[in-house]
Amino acid sequence: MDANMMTDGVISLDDRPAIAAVGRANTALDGHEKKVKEVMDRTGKVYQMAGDQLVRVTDNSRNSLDRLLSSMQKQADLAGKSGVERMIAQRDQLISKWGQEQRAVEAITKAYDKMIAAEQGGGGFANGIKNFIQNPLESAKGAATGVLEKLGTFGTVVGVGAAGLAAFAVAGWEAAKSLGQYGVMIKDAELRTGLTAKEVGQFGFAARAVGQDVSIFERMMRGLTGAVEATGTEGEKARQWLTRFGVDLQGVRTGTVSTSEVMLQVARGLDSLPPGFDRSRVAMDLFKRVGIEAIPVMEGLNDRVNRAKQLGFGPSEDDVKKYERLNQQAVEFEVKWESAIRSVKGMLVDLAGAFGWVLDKISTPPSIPLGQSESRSEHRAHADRIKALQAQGPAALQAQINSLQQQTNQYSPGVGNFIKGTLAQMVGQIYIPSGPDAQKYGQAAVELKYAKEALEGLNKNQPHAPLPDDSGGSSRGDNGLSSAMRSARKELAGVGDDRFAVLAAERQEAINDALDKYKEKAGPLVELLKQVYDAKWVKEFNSESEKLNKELAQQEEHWTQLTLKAHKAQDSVFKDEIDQGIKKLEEEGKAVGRLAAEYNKLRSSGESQAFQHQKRMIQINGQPGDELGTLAQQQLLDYGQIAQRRQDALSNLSKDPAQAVFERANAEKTAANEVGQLRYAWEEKVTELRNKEAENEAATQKRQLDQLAHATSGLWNTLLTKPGQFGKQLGSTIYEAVIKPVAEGMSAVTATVLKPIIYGQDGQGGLSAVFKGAFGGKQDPMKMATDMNTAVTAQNSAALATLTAVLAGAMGMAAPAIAAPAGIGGISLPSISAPAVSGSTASTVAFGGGASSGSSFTDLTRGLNPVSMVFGGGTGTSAEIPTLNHAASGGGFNPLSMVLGGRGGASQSGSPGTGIAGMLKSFKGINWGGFTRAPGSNVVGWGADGTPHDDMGNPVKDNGDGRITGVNGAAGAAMGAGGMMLAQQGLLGSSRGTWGGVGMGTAGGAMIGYQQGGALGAAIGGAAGFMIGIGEKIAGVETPENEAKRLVKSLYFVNIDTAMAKQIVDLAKQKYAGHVSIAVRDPEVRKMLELYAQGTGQKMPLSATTPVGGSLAEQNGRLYQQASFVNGVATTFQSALPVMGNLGANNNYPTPGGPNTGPGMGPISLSLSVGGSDAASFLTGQVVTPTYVADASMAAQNASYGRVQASANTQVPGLITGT
Amino acid sequence: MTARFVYRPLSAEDMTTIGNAVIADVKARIQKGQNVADASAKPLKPGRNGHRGYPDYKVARGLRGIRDLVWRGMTMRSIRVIDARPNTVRIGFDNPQAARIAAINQTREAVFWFSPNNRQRIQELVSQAIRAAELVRVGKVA
Repeated sequence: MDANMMTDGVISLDDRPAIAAVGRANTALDGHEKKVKEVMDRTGKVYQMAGDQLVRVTDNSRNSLDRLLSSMQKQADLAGKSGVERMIAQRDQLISKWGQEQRAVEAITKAYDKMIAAEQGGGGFANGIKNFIQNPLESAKGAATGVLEKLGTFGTVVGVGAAGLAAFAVAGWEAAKSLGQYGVMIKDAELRTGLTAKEVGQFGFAARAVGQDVSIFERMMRGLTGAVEATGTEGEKARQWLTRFGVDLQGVRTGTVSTSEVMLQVARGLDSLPPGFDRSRVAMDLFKRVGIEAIPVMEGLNDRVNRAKQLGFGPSEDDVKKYERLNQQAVEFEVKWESAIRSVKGMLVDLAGAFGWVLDKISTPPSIPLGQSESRSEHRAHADRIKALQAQGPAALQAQINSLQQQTNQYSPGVGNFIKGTLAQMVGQIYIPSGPDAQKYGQAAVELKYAKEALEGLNKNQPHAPLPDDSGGSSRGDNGLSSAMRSARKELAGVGDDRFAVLAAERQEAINDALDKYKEKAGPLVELLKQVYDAKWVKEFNSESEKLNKELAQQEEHWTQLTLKAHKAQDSVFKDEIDQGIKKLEEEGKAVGRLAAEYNKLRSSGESQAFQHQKRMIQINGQPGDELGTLAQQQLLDYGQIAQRRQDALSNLSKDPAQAVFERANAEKTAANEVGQLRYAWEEKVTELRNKEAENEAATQKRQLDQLAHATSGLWNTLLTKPGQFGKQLGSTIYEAVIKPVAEGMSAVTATVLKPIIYGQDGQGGLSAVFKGAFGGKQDPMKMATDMNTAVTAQNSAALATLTAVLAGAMGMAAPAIAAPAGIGGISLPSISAPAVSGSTASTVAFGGGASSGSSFTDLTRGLNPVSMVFGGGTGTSAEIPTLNHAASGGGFNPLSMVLGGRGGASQSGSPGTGIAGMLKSFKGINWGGFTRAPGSNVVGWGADGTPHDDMGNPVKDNGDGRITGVNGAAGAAMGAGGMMLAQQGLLGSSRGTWGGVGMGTAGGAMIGYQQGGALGAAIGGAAGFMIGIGEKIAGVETPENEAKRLVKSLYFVNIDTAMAKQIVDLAKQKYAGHVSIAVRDPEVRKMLELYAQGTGQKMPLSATTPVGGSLAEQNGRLYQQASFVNGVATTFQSALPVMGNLGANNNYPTPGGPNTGPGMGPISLSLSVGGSDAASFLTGQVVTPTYVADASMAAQNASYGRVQASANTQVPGLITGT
Repeated sequence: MTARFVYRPLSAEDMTTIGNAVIADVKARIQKGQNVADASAKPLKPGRNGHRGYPDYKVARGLRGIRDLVWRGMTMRSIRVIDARPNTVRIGFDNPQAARIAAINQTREAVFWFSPNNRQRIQELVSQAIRAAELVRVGKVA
């Protein structure tokens, strides 16, 4: 960079902050998205938790309902089904419940197998009886079997009826007994070993694993306790071993160390000892005689216990308690069962007693009264009733007994009733005597029995006999067997928790009791009992239904509560989180919504930007000045957008017809409005352009006026202040105002023409390339010199031809035909086709173009045939030789067509025409010109392709009624050229400063203006030319030739022509620095003018500065002057003397002038010296007065003073005499 | 595909527009007789010893007698956008003579290039261009 050069200013944007900001924004966006995702995930989890909770609550409720329904279903199923399936189900339930307790499972399986076998084998009579009396009824087995066998058919009936109940009883009893025994065993082990129930199971597993059972630990503890507490040496030895094994003896004594821990510590200690004698000895020291037996158990005890813990062996304390309760219930059941057996025996005894013939078949007579078969409650009721009777006293009782005895005798059933009852029992039916007599008999018999008992009690004076002791399992008569049976049946029914079964059992037992007690008289009581139990059943049913309904209601309420709880859980437990989640969701949703909206906005903005970009590109690529065309293209896009939006809107109409109609109308309305807006914009643009055009015209006029005013103001200033410089400034002003634009315009035209010559069409050829190649290439110097010479010659010729063609074309003249060689290598010569405007003679200036053709001499010789060049063809390579209508492949151009506004010369390349036809075709292609008009009234705008269209956007043909805005083509060029020449002649040429010049300037300006801008342009141009001419006229601008003419006329009274004037001007330029006023006084000019005047018959006065001889002659006393001859013409001096012979009298010499004045017009110079005292008089105006001057002159004449000079002054003013 | 902010620089066309606007701003400042500090430039050296000075000649020529670097107007006319690239625009003279004249005058009074007001104007123009061109926009990136 040159230090003297101003450095450039650089605006460079540092985009690092923007990039960093974008990075931060994207990071923040990532974080935002991550947070959104986290919040969404967290919220989803919260919802999932809430949902899970709700599902759990729902599941619980559903499970509760399912259980309820299942229970109901079970009840329904069990009501109609019983047997193996039911047992299997119950067994499976129990197994699943006690699945981890192997012994319990075994017990359950065993018990139910028995129950199932019993159920399946219930069909056989003998088996049924046998199963019926199986264990736990061992004590009654023999008696019952004997009784039933003795009962025969009746006994079989009884046995079958009891078989079902017996099966359940046996199964339940077996299961309960097994579990109970297991629980008892566990409990016993706990108590004996100090282990917990769980540990008992685990240690039991460890023992069983080595073939022992849990009792081994009991024995070990027994020996260990003795060892710990023993005071002898053996005890000491044992304690040493225990201490050595790490057992806290004090803790063992105080109970802080558990038995299991001691056992495990001892086991680890024994394991640490070598097997064999020592271990056995230590074991015996610790466990005494059990030691040897305990070694297998202790070895590996820890591992097995840990394994048991892993497997979860060992019941819990609750399980053990449950087993104990089962055991207790089993024992109770067993006891009750035994009691029931005894009741059966008693019943059989009663039956035997009732029918007599049975008694001898019974080995043991009944020793217990009937009342002893009562249950405890019945016994209490019975005792209460006896007590009440005893309260009446013995007499009253005796009286009652008598009365009741009579009644029983009166209403005693007969043999028929007995037979009926027997037959009914044989067919499985119960016969209940009916009728009032039977009822009365029953009541009387019962009351009689009570009364007798009460009386006996009074007589014996002892309380009611206690219930027989069933514990002994005796089979004495009834012995409460009936009560035990009822109780057992009720218990049996109660096992299944079936209230209806219990009721049925109670009902049946009550009937049986009634029948037992009142025999045939029990009929009414039985009926009553049926009614009672039916009522109870109904009540129970109602109660059960009510209970079910209640449970349903409760479940429903529970469900409702659960639902409410679930809602509450949703509302309360997760309320905060859900609220927060919802809040965050809403916030994030809003943020996402905003982001989406922003994205959509940006996307739409992007689309809008793309659309705007298109419009902007149209604006950028639009033709300058063609704003309407640009707007039309832009509005085409807008119309497309509007149509697209309309189509989109119409494609998304609502399915609701009414809404669709509304939306359609809205879409159409919107589209119409938008189209209207575009129309408005179009009209506004048209108006704006019109206004702008008017403003431009006004501004142009104003600027021109301002320029003229500025120029003329300077001229006026110079004229008024420095008149001497006026002419020069006028010239410069005119140059600036007129010549410079013209010169610039012509320079541009010339440059356009010369550019391809110098630089070639492609900017790489022409002379520039030639010289460039001359300095940088490796060409042959001779060849290069020859080429250059040839090129320069051709170039000169081309330039001349070009200029000639241009000027000729501009002036409407035919250009001379110049034939030149084809293209020169490295030179891109234009192919000039300059047809004469007149069309009379075609210019045939043809130059080869293109750097590729004709680079050799041989090539140069091509096309030298002028004929062929003119007419085309003729040579084999004519295609490469451009002619008038054929340009070489390098292309060419038609400068005239450029000037005339026709098509470019480049269009000439391509298919060449040949001969006269091609020439005529070329003429045909010339734009001869015509008026340039503004768009017609029917043209509103132009489409994208430039075609005019009307206000509806339809292409139309211009009707041509637009105003004339200029003249184009050849006519325009001719008009412009003519106007230019006229203006130049009138304003700058020889006519400047003349009225003719004003007219020519006006006409020329008008022509130029009309060519450029039509009528308005003509007015402006004419006005400008006129103003310039007037200005020149006012300023006195004249050409040197005119000045010469004017001066010659004024000095010599000779009119000279322009050629003569130009001669004078040339002489002035040569000798007098262009001063014409000096040149006209030059003697040579004067002589020339004299000759000119004489040659043209004009009279030219002689110059005072030219000596001319004079001759005076005296004749007859008079003095005459004689004519002298100048150039053969008699000339005389203007004098009072007469001319002799009157020759040349009318041709006087002119009055000689001074150096700066014309002849006879020079002033008289007078020098005056005033000095001394005369100064005052001089200053007061008293020195020279007319009178004084006249007097002095007269005095001088009188004194003949200066007579010669005076005469000379008179005759020849300015003549200087010698004396 | 995720929506991301993307950055693209101001185009050469945008920078050219900015450069031309700045040139107009600088020209206006200089023609007001202000130096690069937005202060009035020192006056032109007047004539001495009864001779007219440069300001007198300027006034006689119809120009202003201040240091506005205008005589023929060539220097100020020669200021152009020399080069424009994304985010960068270079302003200079397309006429070596004008560049020399400017350099000479710059040694006398610094008037080139950007005064504080010009810089502020540049900032405004850049901001406008950024807003118009959406320098940072939301786009889709892989």
